[in-house]
Amino acid sequence: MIRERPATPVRRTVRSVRPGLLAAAALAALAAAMPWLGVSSYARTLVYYTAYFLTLGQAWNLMSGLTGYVSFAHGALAGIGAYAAVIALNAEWPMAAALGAAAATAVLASLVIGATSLRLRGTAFTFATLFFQELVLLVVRKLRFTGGPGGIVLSEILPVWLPHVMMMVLAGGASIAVALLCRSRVGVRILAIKNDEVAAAAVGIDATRLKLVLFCASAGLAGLAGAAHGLFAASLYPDVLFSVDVSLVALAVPLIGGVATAAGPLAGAVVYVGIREVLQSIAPGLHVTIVGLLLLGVVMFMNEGVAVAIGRAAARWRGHGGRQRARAAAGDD
Amino acid sequence: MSLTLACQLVMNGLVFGALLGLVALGLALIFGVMRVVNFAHGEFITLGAYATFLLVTRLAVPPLTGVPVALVLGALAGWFIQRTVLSRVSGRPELEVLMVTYALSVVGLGLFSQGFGGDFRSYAEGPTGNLRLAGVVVGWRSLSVLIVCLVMGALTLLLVQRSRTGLGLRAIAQNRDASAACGINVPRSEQLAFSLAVGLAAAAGALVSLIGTTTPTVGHEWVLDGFVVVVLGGMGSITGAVVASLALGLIHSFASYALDDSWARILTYLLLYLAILVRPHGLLGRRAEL
Amino acid sequence: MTVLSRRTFVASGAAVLGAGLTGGLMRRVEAAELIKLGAALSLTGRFSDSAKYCQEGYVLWSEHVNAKGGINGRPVQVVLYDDESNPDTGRVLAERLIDRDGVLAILGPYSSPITDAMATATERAQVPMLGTIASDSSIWDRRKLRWSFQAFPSSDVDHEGFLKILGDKGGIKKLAIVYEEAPFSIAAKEWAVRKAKEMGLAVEAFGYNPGAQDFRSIIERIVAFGAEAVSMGGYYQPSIALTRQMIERGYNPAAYHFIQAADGVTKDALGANVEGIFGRSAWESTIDTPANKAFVQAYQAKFNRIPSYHSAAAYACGQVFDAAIRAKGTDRKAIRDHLATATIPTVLGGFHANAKGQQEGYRYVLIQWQGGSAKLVSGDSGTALLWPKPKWK
Repeated sequence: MIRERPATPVRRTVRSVRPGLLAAAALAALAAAMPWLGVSSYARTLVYYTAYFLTLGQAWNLMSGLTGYVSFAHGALAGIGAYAAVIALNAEWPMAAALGAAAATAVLASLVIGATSLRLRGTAFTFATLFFQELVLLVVRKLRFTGGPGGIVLSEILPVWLPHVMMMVLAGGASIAVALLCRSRVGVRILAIKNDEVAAAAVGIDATRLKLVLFCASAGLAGLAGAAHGLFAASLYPDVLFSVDVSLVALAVPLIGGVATAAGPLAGAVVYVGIREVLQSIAPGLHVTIVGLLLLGVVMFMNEGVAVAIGRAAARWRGHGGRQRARAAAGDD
Repeated sequence: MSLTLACQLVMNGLVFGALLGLVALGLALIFGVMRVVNFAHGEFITLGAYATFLLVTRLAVPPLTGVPVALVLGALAGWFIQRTVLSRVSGRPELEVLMVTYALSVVGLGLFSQGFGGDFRSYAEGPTGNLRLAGVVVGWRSLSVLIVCLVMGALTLLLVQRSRTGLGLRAIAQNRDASAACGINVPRSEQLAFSLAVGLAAAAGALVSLIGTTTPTVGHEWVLDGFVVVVLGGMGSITGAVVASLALGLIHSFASYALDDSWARILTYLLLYLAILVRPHGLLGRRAEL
Repeated sequence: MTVLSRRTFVASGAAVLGAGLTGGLMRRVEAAELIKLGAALSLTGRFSDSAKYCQEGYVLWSEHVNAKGGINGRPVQVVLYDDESNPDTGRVLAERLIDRDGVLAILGPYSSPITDAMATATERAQVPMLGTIASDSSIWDRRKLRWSFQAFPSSDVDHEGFLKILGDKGGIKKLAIVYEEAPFSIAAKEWAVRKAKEMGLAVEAFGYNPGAQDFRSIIERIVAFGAEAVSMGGYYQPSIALTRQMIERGYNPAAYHFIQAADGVTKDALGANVEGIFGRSAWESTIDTPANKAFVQAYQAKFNRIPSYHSAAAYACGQVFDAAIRAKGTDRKAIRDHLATATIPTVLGGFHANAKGQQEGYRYVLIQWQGGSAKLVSGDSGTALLWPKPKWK
């Protein structure tokens, strides 16, 4: 799960996954069109939340999935983006500028954590992100500028199609970006760090710089996701936004679905949203417990995530059938 | 600031610091011996708190009796978790094990929320009255907590520093493979360390229920501070954890008098940040840790 | 703890229908005539214990209404979901109630943040909503909410009753106000500090972080300030912790008030030391009006205990919608306009919203623990005060 994938498969080229990327883009476009397709708002909301968790998951994946440095800060980074966007919009900034501000503030925050703690080993970085989350919560609650404990609201409630379309674009774009990255030269370098940082350094890979760049990119994405969600929610409460639960989702989604793959977070997001919906009617309080159990199970037994495990099982089933056919063709020897 | 006031603040800070020390002791022990960052530590605190609450309200048992009961209960639960979950992931990269303990904490929190509901629980029973020493007032309740923490902490330190078992634990903390080669039963020692550590956490939980109120997240709040002091004191250094806890208790007491509670906490986290940067291995830990 | 699913509500609604038919009180009705009101409550999570009382209030109200033949002859059904004490979930549920369940209007959730989140959805969909326990008036200050109305007395005046007593009694020069760093408590503090200064008191306010359990430093500061009266404007749990730590410290204010002291469990938590403590209450079961008495009796008959203010507030919301629908029918806009202007009598008092949607009609009452029970001490029918507060042991 946090370890790299098995060494044997040949690295697939960009060309070979192009159909997959086109399918992803088409799916995102279809999902974005939902507000106008006459679907019930219930279905639309489900798709929206899947996209939101998917985007957060890809953001986490971009950093922690690829480098193996577990971050608990992504919820805070998304929250920072949400606040920045809402403050900017309330100050009459145009939408594009507000979104830019959201991404920029999140990136700045990640620079602060990253520059200070990425030099240290994994555990230290994880702690640093955990404390960062707490610190941001405390500070945001304290400052007048961020509205104090009452949080802030968008002075004008925006129609729901706007954040919906934004989130679909982000989800699609993030997934495609991660897919391309995994297959690029940069991607190979990054995976080398995860595998063995010392060895990677020996062949001249500047681990710290790469980690920092990835962290900033991942933060920018999380910030944008937070901004879109801020527009959707229209009222932001620090206790909700900066609670560690959001960071939990950001890491559970790719872990359950499969890290360091583009499809993993999609599988994880679907599973997570599905569980929440099912449990809503049966046992609402249990969904956090179930997520925890799922996470536990995946880490312990399916350490490459559900998506890969299913893929493997399918391949084995197909392979078994193939072997049988081959044996039958060759006659029973 | 008068001397009396200062002494009062010191007294207040010591109570908080001692309780935190008990929690941090366990965290440091687990990290030192098993190299595991136990995110699930808080759930054992919560377990001890709820167990004591039930004992006091259902069975009319005096709260302080809850401490040994919680200790045993926590140790048993810990032994079980160690056998079924942690031993299975023992060889794996530390970040994977971290995810396992984190997942366990999520599950634990969910179960407590489901079982006890979200609201607080508290009871009125327990030592009452206060003691006046040269102008400093300290309640018997807080004093009992302080004494129990000091006793348990001292006993644990004695166990680790002076006994044969403790020698084994320290050996494993220094070099796992060499210890195994010397014939030390590593898996059993790990079980012991984990059970003891979370038993202490549960005992701390029993004390928390006495001077505070119990909610499903009560353990989480203490554990976050626990991590702060373990990192400050040096991951794996037990004495460091205790010293850092007492120091944090004092700093917090004075800071929240001079500023206010929130600023005091912000200050703590900022200090921690600086500490991690300047000495990533903590104040008393060994260089190899972080 | 049971989770009340939609199925249970439909079942109970159907049972009442059946009873009505056999009693000959109702003519035959078809499902299309059902008046549906939606609600999201924190059946699990942080607010679950309190939200449960709200649930009881909604259930009791719908049963009473249906037993009397419904509203304008149409039976009422309350569709309820669990928001897990999470504002985000609350907002999603609001959409679901409006879109999938087709409810006419929404009965409020338990906490202010969840009310605020659901308001986003109800504003978008233009559906009327009542903030059942939303004491935080700033929700209606921060943005223009046309479709939601506060249905609970405002937190701003949390300390009003206590300050009045201090003014009447005299002799107190210094007041300490403890507040939680949460919007409702901050608003209450600011109102109280202003008022106390007007009254010529020396006042200092001490804030704490939500979830704080250790108030010792605050207590030292209060002692250093020399306050004779203390008013705590935070939630129940921290109030109990504060009280206990003050007792341990040996600090004995002449007058002490914490807003949630009226809660029955205060006596269990503090034992004999509860004597003389003031609390504020949106509603007391002892308030002497025929409507209130009827409500309390009915509640006791069904649930076997005295209702708390949460149930009363929930019941009151039902009554408000009842009055609006009777007056204006089932047109959402008309209902909304009625809520905005009318004065509606309920068990909580006279519901009346101002131009922003904030509650102006309901006020708080003050209680004091005397002889082991919470006595109403404000208003004309109030008992005599126990003054000063007996020393803590």
